[in-house]
Amino acid sequence: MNPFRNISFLQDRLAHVWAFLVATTVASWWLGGGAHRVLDSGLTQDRFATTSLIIIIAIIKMRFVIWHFMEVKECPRWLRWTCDAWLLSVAIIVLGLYVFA
Amino acid sequence: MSHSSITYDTDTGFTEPNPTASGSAPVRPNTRLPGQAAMWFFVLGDLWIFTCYFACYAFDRAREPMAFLQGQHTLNQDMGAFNTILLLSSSLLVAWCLKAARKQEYTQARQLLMMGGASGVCFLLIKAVEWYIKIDAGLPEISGQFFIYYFMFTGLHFLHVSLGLAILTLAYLELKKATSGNLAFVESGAVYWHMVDLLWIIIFALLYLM
Amino acid sequence: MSSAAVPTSPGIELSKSRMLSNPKLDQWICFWSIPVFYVLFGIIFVIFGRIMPPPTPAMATADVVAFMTSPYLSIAVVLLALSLGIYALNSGLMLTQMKRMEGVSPVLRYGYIAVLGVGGLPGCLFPGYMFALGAFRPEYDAHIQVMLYELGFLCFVGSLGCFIIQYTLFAIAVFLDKRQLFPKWLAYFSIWTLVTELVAAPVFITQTGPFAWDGLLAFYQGTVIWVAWQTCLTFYLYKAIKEQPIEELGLPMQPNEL
Repeated sequence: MNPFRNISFLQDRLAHVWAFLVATTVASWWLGGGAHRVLDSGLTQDRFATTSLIIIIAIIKMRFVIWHFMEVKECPRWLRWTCDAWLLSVAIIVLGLYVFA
Repeated sequence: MSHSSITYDTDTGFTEPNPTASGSAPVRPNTRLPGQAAMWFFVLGDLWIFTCYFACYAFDRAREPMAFLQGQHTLNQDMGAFNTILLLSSSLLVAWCLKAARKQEYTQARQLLMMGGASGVCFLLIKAVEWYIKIDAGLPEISGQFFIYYFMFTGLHFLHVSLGLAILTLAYLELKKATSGNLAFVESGAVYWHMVDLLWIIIFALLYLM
Repeated sequence: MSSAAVPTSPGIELSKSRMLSNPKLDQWICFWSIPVFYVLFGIIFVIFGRIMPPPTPAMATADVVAFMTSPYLSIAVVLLALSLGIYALNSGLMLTQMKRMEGVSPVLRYGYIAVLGVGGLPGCLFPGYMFALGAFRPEYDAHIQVMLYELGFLCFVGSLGCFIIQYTLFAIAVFLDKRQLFPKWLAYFSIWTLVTELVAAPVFITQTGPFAWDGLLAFYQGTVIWVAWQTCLTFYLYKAIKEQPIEELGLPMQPNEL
């Protein structure tokens, strides 16, 4: 039997989320290494915008996984707030230490 | 709505009243906790433990950014990105599995779960190859603080994936005998598996790309 | 013994026997040995030995010699050698209570006890003897003192393998237990303990930073989580003894006959 019966890739919300996540993964791979790696052999420290963008993309991706895959969007309010508080803390800690430390 | 009558009490470990299981009209049908409350306790705590690791990493990286960048450039970003997509797909398959199980399509659910688990195994194999390449390159190549973080983060994540595969196997067996519609264990397993995915997203960004 | 020969007042007899005839007296003695052990542990490692919180691995040789030859350290190691065995009472109690779990294979509890016994050697006894050697042989060369210092702390913080299996076996037993003697979340808690303990692995290769033996991740985080876990476990052990039905104890006679 076809394991994907009754699943429409074009209409399924989870499939949309997955496509978005894969697209952002490719984007951040391209930003942080990938095509740039050969060009970027100078290893300059001047990657501020790129690095910040990579972290922000990762936080957004995690929010999508929590919201749709872990089904937190349908969870009680305390859990939604806890998860968002965690995401915000990670963003502040990592970005804050990157920018100010 | 087929899943709103599931009883969670037996497995939670918490004595939380479950309004949907009492037989009366659901108070707020839109908010429910998938899986066992104890699993959420674990997942949230685990995320905070990893946050401590990430904070230490960001702090140390800020102290010697050049050394960390040099270490990062020796990693294989392509393998890392491929592994990310593999885990994302695995998460999607497990989420679909849960959807199918709630519609009582247990055969389809098992097929999807099997494919999700297989993606997880592929992830571990690719990670092992990556480690082999790094270790084979010799000690000077992998010394320094960055590589301690690299091996600790990927190693702990590897451990989490292995534990997740064990949980998915148990969930598969649960789906095989699932006739009562009690999906609490399968839901918990899915929550755990998505957490593994979640952690890899941030580890990939921190170690490989940042 | 002839009871007619010793006439006693029934009131005194009753109050004396109430405590001694408590059918769970053995378990309670073992239980209260846990706080006694950890208080001694604190006195030995924190107050006398200054082993916890650990000093830095990158200490100057002269400071290492001063640390190792401190008279307080010698008191600490003597106390440790005398009192380490108290922990066996705790293990016996764990075995007794884990035996009550339903649907759990006995190998898990035997493994738990065995691995605790083995883990105590590198985790507690080896460092004890390393520090004892340093403390009682002040005439040793400074380099030997440094070696004993490093060996002692590497054993103390770096003894992971046994304790990891201990937490795993406990978690599996709690998950399988149909009787729910311990709550499920305590099993998940012991997985946190496992994860935070594993992070101490790089102590063998780093001397500074969070992965050194005095580091934030290798020592402090793991210790905080472990103390919280041990506290919860002790609380639920208390509850388990308290709620154990008397018929389960397998006594030769009913308690009201005493």
